[in-house]
Amino acid sequence: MNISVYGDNLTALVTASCLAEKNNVVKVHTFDSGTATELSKGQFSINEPFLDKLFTQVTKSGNLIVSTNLKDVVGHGEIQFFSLEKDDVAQLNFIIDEIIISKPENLIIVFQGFQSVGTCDDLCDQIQLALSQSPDDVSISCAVVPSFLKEGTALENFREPDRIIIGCKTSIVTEKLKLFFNRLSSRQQSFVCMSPREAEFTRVAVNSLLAIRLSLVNEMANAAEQFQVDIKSVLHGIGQDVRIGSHYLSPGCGYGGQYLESHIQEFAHLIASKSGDPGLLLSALKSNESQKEVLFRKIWRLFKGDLTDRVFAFWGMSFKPESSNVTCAPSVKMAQALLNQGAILQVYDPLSNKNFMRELNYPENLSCMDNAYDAVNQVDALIVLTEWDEFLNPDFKQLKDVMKTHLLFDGRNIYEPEYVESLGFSYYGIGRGRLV
Amino acid sequence: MNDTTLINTSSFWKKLTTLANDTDALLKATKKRLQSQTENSLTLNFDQISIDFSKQLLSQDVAENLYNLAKEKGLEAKIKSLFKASSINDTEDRAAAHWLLRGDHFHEEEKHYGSWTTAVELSLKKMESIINKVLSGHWRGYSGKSITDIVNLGVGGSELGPLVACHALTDHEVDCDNPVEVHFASSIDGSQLSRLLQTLEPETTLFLLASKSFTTIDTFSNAKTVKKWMASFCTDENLILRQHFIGISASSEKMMQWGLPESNQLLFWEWVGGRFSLWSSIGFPIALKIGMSGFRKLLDGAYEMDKHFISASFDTNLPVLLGLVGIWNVNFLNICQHAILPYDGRLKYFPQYLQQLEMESNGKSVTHSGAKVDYSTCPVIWGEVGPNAQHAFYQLLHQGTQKVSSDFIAVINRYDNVTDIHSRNSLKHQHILSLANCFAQSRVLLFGDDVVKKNDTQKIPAYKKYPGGQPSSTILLEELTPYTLGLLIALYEHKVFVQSVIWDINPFDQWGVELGKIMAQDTVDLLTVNRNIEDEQLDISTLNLIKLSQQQTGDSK
Repeated sequence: MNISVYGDNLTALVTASCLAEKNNVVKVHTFDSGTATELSKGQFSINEPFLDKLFTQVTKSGNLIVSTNLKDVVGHGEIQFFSLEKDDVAQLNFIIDEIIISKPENLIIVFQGFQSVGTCDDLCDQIQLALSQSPDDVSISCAVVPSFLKEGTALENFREPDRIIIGCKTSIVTEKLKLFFNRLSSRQQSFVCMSPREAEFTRVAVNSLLAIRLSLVNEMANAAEQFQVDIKSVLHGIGQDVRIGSHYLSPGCGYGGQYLESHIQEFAHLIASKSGDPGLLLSALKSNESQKEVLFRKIWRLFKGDLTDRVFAFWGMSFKPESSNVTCAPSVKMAQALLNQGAILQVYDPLSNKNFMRELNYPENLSCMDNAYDAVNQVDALIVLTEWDEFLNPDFKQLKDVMKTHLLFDGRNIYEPEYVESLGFSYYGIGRGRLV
Repeated sequence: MNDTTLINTSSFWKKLTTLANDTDALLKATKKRLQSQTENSLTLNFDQISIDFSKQLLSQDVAENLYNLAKEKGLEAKIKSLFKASSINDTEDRAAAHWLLRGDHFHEEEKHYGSWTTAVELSLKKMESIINKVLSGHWRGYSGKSITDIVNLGVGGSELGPLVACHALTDHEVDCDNPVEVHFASSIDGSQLSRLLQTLEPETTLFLLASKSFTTIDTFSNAKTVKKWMASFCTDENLILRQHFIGISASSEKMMQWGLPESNQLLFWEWVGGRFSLWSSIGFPIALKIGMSGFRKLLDGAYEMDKHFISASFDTNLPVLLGLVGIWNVNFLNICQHAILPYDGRLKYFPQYLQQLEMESNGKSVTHSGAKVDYSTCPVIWGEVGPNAQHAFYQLLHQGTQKVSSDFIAVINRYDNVTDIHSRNSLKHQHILSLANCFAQSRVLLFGDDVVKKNDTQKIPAYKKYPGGQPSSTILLEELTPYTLGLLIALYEHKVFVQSVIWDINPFDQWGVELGKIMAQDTVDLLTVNRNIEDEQLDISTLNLIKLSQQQTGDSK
């Protein structure tokens, strides 16, 4: 089948690659000719495991073509996926105008969910109005299929989704989309069908619920510390409750990433726009912002408020493992907090060193290191901010040899306090019962 | 005139006395002037401020004699000497160079004062770096959290300036990562402080100790309580001092003694009088609210008014005119009460601010040469937000027996930036209502019953009659911004100076507040130390008050 995809973000590239992989002929449209050239050469600014490989493979096979020719892409796909960002409104209108002019026959437009609640209906009405004034017998349908991709596991999420939500007013179109998605997987897909508005609402609601859950877990962890209780045992107990389950029950030094925060803000804005009070959501956001500095506060107290010329190592700066993204990551806030107190930072991340430096605007007292052990050389403390695999079982003996002070701040609770303490480290995690 | 001759022996003074003899005729002439002239020559503008003096009982003759009186007192030369930073405050042998805080008037030819200018710039830079640290969230409390609340502990000049400006400029709050709430606590009895301590979080509260001498008992009794409060949450005293207190004073030594590290000290200088100090680091709370760029705009506004004051001729010089009109009212029309009536809720604290500025400056009765004056000096200043005061003391203004002059103050444009269109339109209408009240009240105060047609007033009973005859000036600002507030405050500062020159008094000292402080300290001893007060040389009234208080405290024990 011929497919068009609009956008050059993670969702767009994963959608395009995975569909091309299944022998669809996919044209990806971007307005940015620079990005188009880079993508055609297989150069990726997005670090997503295996995506570059798949993208190159399907490009070579001829199933995926990157184009800046809008007319060509509009005329290509029987199903056209919109994966634009929320603020690309001008681009969206440009594409819709082109669709109205070109009037491709029997087209299904699928919004993957950058838009706010009601956008799909509004655009659909706009298109239908234009078509009604045209003598041609053309049908164009709209649906919302929200994307729930998680960075680091995006390909897997697309190929084997928990469920596919289809928001569409027309049952024939819904059935067509079901057939289409079923052809992509060997297993029977699980579909949830609803109206476009409901699908749009679901998209932002999911992340909001997760964010509130995480914030609450973090608050529990902070409280546990005050009572010399290890939150890990507590959460293990809680997670066994079938009503609750064990997902998203890991406390840490705050969540980041582009989508989680922006979705909560979007959802809060949605509620507020209808005179509601998004108090719980805003509290969750505020609580998370505070949580991003939870380790800073421990360090501050331990060093009695004087961090001038103290040297700290960061292990991990991306907002999650397998990603190079540092947007809204706790590492950014931590670095700003420490640097502003006159501290010196030696940081290492397998993928995000460059992005981190750029995000912080290349500050003076920050050095990016090529490997984890260079970063901890002669430091006053090691601060773990991302749970990359390579940090899970470090050579503690080597750490002891090179660190000036054997102080360990574990923002992801990847070490067992008793064990590292037995090796001679002072250990402070998130809610592990060790109070500064 | 030699130094010991009082101004009321001047021929111009005598001429003015004669001109003021027939107030009825003056009022009549004023009304006629206002109703017959097509052009209002008594409204003067400078920059974004204009003052309508036309509702004052003035004539060209009066104005000429007032200018001559000012010339005779050497006003022009006195203004020059003020801006040369000579020791104009003769009882304390100090300059009064608060104007230097808003811009350098020395320029090239007075290079020997360069060190002062450098000190001012350095102080602003230090202030800016602390402000940036607080507003970006990088000033931390003892637990490592960012500061959320700032409490200014200061009284008099260390409170009123920042208070008036913070309240006036709420529409200009700075957009920053970590906005902070600014609170003020001044009263010696701890009333404001005790309420604040109930609601504030110690770990995120920063206290400013603002005191020129750094010994003010009101401020330090509050500071002592705060220190104890803090100690109950964090025992690391050094950390508390470093992260929860900033000192603002002219005495680095005293700040050091109190335990404040150099990094937490903001200095100003002996040549800045307390009531003129909002332009210095005393303005720290203002800069926290409106940001450092906003604070610099406030300074810019005042600097422009300085330049106008130095250079404009008397008949176009707003501070000179405001001052001379005041002299006319006080010394010749015997109007010894002056009301400040802002028609804008944001200027709520402005009357209070002017009470200190004018009454502490010019509430004096001895000339520079030590002679006792036999003419009135500063009138009693009071006031309130106009529309609210209309429901309170305006009754007295309209139908009472006291002669009161007034300054009406209003802002022409407001609410343009309200984003919600419905409330914007409604708020704009409220603003028009306020302006209408302002213009109507000054009219009725002067014209009385004459504002209505004659045949309508014939049958009205005496208790409904309005005699009119109360003069006023109306000050209009194009809008209320840091810049225009700077213009407005400097206008009054210079007005006060003009009047002090005519009255031949020192506006920059305040010896009248000293004796009470000393007596209070003695009385504290009597109230707290178990002494036989019968032995003290006290008057019977004070003795009884102390006895009563001791009995009550004894009972409650």
